[in-house]
Amino acid sequence: MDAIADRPKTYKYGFVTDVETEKFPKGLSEEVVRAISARKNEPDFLLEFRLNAFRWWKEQEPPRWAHVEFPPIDFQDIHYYAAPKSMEDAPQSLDDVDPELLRTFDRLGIPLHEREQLADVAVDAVFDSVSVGTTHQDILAEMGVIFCSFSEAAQKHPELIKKYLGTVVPPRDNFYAALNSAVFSDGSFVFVPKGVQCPIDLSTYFRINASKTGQFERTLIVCEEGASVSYVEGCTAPVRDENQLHAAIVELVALDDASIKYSTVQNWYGGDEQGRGGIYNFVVKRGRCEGARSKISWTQVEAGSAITWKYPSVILKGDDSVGEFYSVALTNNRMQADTGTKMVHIGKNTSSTIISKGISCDQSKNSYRGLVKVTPGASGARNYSQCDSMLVGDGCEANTFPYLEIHNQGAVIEHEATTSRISDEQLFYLQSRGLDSEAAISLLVNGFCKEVFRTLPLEFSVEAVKLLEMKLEDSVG
Amino acid sequence: MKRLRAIPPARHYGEQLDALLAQNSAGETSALQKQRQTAYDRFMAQGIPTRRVEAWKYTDVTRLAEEVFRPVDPAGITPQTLADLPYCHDGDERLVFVEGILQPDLTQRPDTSPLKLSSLSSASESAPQEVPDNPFVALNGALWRDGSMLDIPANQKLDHRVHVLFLHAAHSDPSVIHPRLHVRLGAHAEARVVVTYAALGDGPCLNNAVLDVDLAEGAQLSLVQAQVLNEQSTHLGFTRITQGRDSHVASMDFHAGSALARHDLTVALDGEGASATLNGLYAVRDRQHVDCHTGIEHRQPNCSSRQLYKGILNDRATAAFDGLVRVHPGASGSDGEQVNRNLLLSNDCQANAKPRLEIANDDVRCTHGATVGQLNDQELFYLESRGIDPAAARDMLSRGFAEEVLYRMDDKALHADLHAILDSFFEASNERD
Amino acid sequence: MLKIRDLKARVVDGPEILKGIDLDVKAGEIHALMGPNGSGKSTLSRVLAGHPDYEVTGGTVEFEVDREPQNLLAMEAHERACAGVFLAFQYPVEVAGVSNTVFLRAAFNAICKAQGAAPIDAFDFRELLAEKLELIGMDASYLERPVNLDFSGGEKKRNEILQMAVLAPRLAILDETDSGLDVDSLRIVSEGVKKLSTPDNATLMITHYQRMLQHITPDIVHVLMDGRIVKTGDHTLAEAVETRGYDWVREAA
Repeated sequence: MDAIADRPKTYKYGFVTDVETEKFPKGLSEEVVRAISARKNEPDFLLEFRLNAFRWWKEQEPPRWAHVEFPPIDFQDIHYYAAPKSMEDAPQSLDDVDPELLRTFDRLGIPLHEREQLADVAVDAVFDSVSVGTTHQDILAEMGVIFCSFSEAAQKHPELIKKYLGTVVPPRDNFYAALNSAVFSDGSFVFVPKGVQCPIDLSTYFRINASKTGQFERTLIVCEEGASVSYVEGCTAPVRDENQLHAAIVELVALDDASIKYSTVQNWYGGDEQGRGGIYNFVVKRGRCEGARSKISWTQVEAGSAITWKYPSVILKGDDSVGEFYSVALTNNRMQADTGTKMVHIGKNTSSTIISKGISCDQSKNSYRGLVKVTPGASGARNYSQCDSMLVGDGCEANTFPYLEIHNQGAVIEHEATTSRISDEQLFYLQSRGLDSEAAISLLVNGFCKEVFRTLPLEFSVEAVKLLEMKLEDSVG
Repeated sequence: MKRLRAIPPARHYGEQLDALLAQNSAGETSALQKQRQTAYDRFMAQGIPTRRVEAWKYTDVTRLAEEVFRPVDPAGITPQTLADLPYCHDGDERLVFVEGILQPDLTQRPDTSPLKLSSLSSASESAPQEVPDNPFVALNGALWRDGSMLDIPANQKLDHRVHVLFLHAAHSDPSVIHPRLHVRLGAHAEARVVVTYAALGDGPCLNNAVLDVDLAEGAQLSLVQAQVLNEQSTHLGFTRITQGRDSHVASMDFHAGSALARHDLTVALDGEGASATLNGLYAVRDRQHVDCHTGIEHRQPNCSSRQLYKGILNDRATAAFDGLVRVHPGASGSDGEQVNRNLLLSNDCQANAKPRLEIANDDVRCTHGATVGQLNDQELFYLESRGIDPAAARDMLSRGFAEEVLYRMDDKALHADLHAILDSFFEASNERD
Repeated sequence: MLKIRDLKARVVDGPEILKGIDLDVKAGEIHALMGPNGSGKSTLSRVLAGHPDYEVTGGTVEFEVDREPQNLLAMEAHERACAGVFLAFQYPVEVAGVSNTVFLRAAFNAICKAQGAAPIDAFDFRELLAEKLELIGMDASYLERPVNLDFSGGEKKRNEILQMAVLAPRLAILDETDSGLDVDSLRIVSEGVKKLSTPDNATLMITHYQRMLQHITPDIVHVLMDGRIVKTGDHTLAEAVETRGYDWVREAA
């Protein structure tokens, strides 16, 4: 519990949980990959999948193109598997889960116990490398919706995993995708069968607890024809002086007329005022609008991590498919974020919308990087992008790096960007009308981000607003 | 497996340098010869960039590693040749470089001109520049044959236009020019400078130009660069503008003609209150390719920059625009605006845009916008509903698209010149429709 | 209502601008504060509103809230607003992304809360706004636009008076509200200010010229020079300044 003593006041999730942890020794080798697979008792095709990814990864160098700076990562100084020891004899139900773990999730505001569960949200809680429990299983099962940990899915639904895993983000997509594909630990699996509208929001809550541990989750969501689902993830980690690597993959597949809405509130620990500690959040998130008239919508509120490097993307393959990206990224202290999206238009009459709001405070760096690509066959493609930056204080950076690659005449592509700031003069003006500084900041932030907040499920929208206000208050005034 | 970021240039570049050094026709000082060698070493060290290098993502120049272009001697250009060129106007002060060498007999200078002209061979300011990710500036520094320094003294206002023409005469062997020009305006000086890169024949040529511009306090410059090379040519341009306090540059960057054009235009707003207006227009068809990069550095408070670059693409042409507005930490009160618009006239053309903002100061007003699209159906219909046939309506709207940039030029004669060049572009486009 | 005694203030770490101001404003009064450029008029208005760029180096300011004198200088800017001090800015600030309606309702409810009143719901607030809009001749489209963003000079000033109408302050300080206004806007703004004046509130108009005073007759006129009030009189003083200039005041003082 050493880290709690001097933890910054703005990070309220910075506690460490005292649970006994089983870790693999540090370092990555073919043996470690095999051991992870064996520990999870995986089918052979998954072991092969991992080994192929690992062999390719060994030959690669980490990419350096993002507008972020950090010392090289020693990939041999990381534990690639950590699990609470009490999970050794896998719990049969939530009642078997270590009470200490349940208390952890309670403190995070994610009650897993039946009697306290959130009424309209099913939660899968992932602690370090493993899923510790999933709520609302019964209601979902009735409708044929599968929502479980990835490990469980590998045992119970290997045919679905085999069919879809790696089809959106191939193991050789990039360095971190390969790393994840080799060592991924756990995550969530969602399958919504044909015609089913999932009646409740599904949610995964990720928590990194163990030190010197990388977290490599893998999430796969498949919506069959006409199905729809809204999925929310939240993330926190304890305050530690070291940097921890989080390299996850999320794959979404939407068949004809399917719709997937994926929302993230990311609040990993971002390091202290001097830039010590914090999570390196290098994540590959990609959705594939496979079918006609399908829709994938990403909403992210990125308020944590020392370094964020992620581009939730949509491949618009089906005709008339729709991709959306709504993002608020706040950086403070010395955080660095290089985030945005890719919209790849392949089918006919596809459309995409990008709304990105970056807020930079203190000494932080906040960059939007996005690609809109219209391939030659994608006639009738439409994109609208709006990327706004807000600077708070004069030591921060706000950058915008959009890429537009248009290979079809019929495309209509528009990109706009602006920069603005919260100035002392603005705050005084609002205060002179009776608002205290908290209310004034909240008004400005809500005004700046409203197009994004509007797209979040209600309870997360409230959480997101509170989170940003809390972080901004230290930076403004 | 790692893909290469640069390819080593072939031997012929070194041979050309050796020949230049041995011949030393201009009687260069050893210091200058040493500069050439330094520049050449830098070029070799940098190599020819591949598309793995971010700055060359949209333009492939790797064939320049092997392809041989040789300098040729100037011949066959008479005053009459110039008189027939539409963009040569009476009353201009005119410097003519043929095959990269200044031709005194073609040069036309009013007796009263306050402009001071000197050769860069004798000037100490010609030290080669080091530009990351652009080896061609170093190549120019190694192999340029002649160049001029244009000085407009403080408080002088030039009433006439200064036209600098770099001409490739007609010949069939692949030829090369490394144009080199340095324009300096003293405090509160005012001038209009037009630089034209042209080819008379249709033989392949490489035009690798470096232009330096310095503006002292309060100076005002209108700068037009028109690239009207032939369809076999490759144009590589590098323009660096440095501005002092309260100075103003209005730049027009025009590209039509070459098979491949790449122009890097950088502006350093180094004095408080300096302002720059950069307009650009590129028109490409067949398999032409153009790649315009602009980089504006707001280094001091209260500077402003305005950019409007527009592109018209037809057939299988490709174009890229990469614009960066960077506001440095101390540059409060910066005002930057950047717009790139592309009109696609065929289904096979490709437009790429990368409008970038890097802001490290909170007291700024910066915006950028980029669009790519075809002609507006509503507008076409409106014109057609008034009795204009579809082809004419398209033509009218396409020209209107270009006119939004061209009308910003104060100089009506130049405006007409560029219009005439565009006319041939649209005529060629219409023939195929 | 407002009692200023020997008020001295400066820009933080700068030279002293206010060098001992004495001023009494009673409920029901309209005061005009005139003075040449640089005399400290705007500084006084901003000091009274609690602008963080200024620091008070001496003196006291008492402001009466429900007949209880309060130390205005001890309050934060927003507390002053909640207590009923309103400053119409000379240069109203642009606030991108926040609509006028959202902004006004937030301010209105903050003041309601401070004064122990119940907050108003969006529907009732809209009705209240409609009534106030009419007062200053603005149409409803202003309400959905971001606060002051891309407003013309005249629109910004009218927007200040709209806020004043909605927030109903005890003491309204108008800082050069007449500058940058065309004739029609000036008339509308002046009419609005007149209508908002009641026996229970007070208005302090700060102005360089007499323009606005032709529409609103002040009860008391002060001339501020070099950080001090050098002359106080009735509305004829304003006319005398207009015809004879500030030098006359300087000599007379």
